[in-house]
Amino acid sequence: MSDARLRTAALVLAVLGIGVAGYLTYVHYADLEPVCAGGGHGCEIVQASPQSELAGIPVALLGLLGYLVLAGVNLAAGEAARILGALVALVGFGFSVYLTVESVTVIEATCQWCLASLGLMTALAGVCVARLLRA
Amino acid sequence: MSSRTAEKAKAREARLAAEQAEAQRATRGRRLKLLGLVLALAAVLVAAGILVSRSGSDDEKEATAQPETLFAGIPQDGAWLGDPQAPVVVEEYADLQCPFCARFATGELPGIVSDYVRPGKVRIRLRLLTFLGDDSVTAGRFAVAAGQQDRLWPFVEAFYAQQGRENSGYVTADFLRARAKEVPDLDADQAFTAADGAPVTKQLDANQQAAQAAKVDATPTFLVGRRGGPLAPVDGGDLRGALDAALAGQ
Repeated sequence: MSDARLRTAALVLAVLGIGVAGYLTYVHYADLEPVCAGGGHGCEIVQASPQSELAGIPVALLGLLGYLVLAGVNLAAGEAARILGALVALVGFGFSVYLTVESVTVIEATCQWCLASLGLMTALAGVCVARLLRA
Repeated sequence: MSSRTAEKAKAREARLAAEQAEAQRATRGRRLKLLGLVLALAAVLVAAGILVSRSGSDDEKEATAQPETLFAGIPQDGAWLGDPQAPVVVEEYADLQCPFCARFATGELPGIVSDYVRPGKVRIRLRLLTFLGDDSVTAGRFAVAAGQQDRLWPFVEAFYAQQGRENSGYVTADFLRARAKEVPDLDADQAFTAADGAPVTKQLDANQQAAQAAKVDATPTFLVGRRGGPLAPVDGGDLRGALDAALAGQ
């Protein structure tokens, strides 16, 4: 796959991620209940858990910032942008895996929005690493 | 002559191809090294994030583990905490969803317990109300049921430590079971069964009637008085001052 296609794929994934993390950030600050498919309360439980914040900052907001950076670096050209993109995507992927394990084993609830974000970060990590290696 | 020229051109092409292959190998090697560095840095950042996240979780766990230490050795009887012969009595009206109640429980209560309740000076009764919504009802019924096992106070502390957003539906059976797990000697199955029973309904109704009689219109509200005597609301939230005054017999 050409770099142009990888770049487009990364941008689409980052925009989707901005949507997911943006929604979770909005419901956090608006003190609303996240819409959970199937009427479950997993999303509220996860959002209300201690793991939903990192040093007092909502994880959803950190995710939103991460996706914004990923969109920015995939719009920019140059090696530095590709390195930063791979780094942010790998960190996002690693932390998403950790949070998912925590939500299943400690919080004992799963949030569909968080799982969607894990999927997007996983794909972004793959695309950004491929861009770094192919350049 | 022409064959010599062709040989030279062929040799040059071979040399160029070899140089190009070498350059590609070098580039590939450099990229892999770069990826290794990025992976290592990412691993360090993720590990740091996990450490920060876990330290926050540990703080929460300490908060939930605290009740056993806080109440250890203090007589508990249903909604009562403290020596039945204590000269001063406090009634606290609270709703488990009320954030100010949680703030009192995690902030001021430990000091009140260690300074007044543990030495046998004061006995506290927790009268749970359920006016904030469905989650209050679910939580309140389970807490009163825990009180039937004399585990109301540590359960309530564990609940407050994980209090969620008001009426977000977070008070599920799983949530209650997880909180009950944090309270030693609390039989969660027994509490779930009892929570649906008439005695729990009767207790909550009694709390509600007592709140109306005392004109309680906010939580937490504290009534203080000498044992067996009338109780008066605490002015200005100065619970310690009211306790000292009651202990002094004023």
